[in-house]
Amino acid sequence: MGHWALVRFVVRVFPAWGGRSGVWRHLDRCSACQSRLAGLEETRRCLVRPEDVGRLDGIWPEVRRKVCSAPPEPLAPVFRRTGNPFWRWAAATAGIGFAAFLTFAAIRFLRSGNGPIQARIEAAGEPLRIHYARVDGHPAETFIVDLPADRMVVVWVAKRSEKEGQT
Amino acid sequence: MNEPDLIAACLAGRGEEFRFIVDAYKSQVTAVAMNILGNREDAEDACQDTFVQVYRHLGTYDPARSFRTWIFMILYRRCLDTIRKKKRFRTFFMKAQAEPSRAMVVPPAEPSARGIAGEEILNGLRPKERTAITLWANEGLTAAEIAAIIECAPSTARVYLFNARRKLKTLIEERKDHGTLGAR
Repeated sequence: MGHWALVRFVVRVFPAWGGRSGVWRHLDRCSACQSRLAGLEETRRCLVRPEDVGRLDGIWPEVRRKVCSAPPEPLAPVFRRTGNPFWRWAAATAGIGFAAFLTFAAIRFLRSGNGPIQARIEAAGEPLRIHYARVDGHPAETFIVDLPADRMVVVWVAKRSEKEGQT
Repeated sequence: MNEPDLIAACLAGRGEEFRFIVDAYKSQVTAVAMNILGNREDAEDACQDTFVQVYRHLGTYDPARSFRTWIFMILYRRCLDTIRKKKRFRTFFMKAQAEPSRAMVVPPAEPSARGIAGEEILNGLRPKERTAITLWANEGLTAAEIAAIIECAPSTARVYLFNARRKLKTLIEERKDHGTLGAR
């Protein structure tokens, strides 16, 4: 009983463990463990055998009809597992970790109030628009400064400088 | 004519020669499909689709590999497709199962080898476990060959086989206790 429980534990808990071959060797030898597994004849009694399926006269005419009438189609794509299982596990773990990091960073960014100002203004309900600004009858330059820490948006209007690039 | 010659003849355009390949494998393929899918109608459809796919892709067959294993690999994919479709229409199939005349799809003239009790037992296994145990018991395939068919590592195939045999034993014992497993 004890080694059967151990065998089940190893098979269930360590699905990718290379050293499990010892467990298979034990299973092949141990009659007590074998008695807990369905034997070949026992299994066959529960299965449909090739000699039991009866006549299959309709298979070939249908296959010939499909082969002659329909154009060829590609095989269904299959995800092939290749390489060392360790690297598959490592890649999966790294992928999950990276996704968690991105999620954490995105949440932190949005909570910090550093999100795009346009989105935040629109979310506030009343969009902030400046169509034009004049100072002394001349077009002026406008600046919008967002100060999220102070929950404040400052609108700055400056007279355009005579020289290019200066305000 | 042996198998490589038949394949060469089909590739040369003599499609009628494919009939011999179909006749050689149709019983094995249908039996495996019936064990995986649980009913004859789906199994025959999967069998036909498998042979159509085999014919269309004979050019990609690698002669270094076993032809039988290649056929079973294509059959396994077809069976998985069918199982996925059946899941989508679960409601319909639950209704069908409630009607004994539709659930018992094997014609009376050709009685199911495993009977209702056997079908119920196999329903307790997952599709990969059903595939592994069928290929092991019916076809005598090794874990490595089963792994090539269900496209996993050989050790994983052994786990499927182990779990299938363990569950099957438990279910058989339960049926014996309740006296519902009829002897053949």
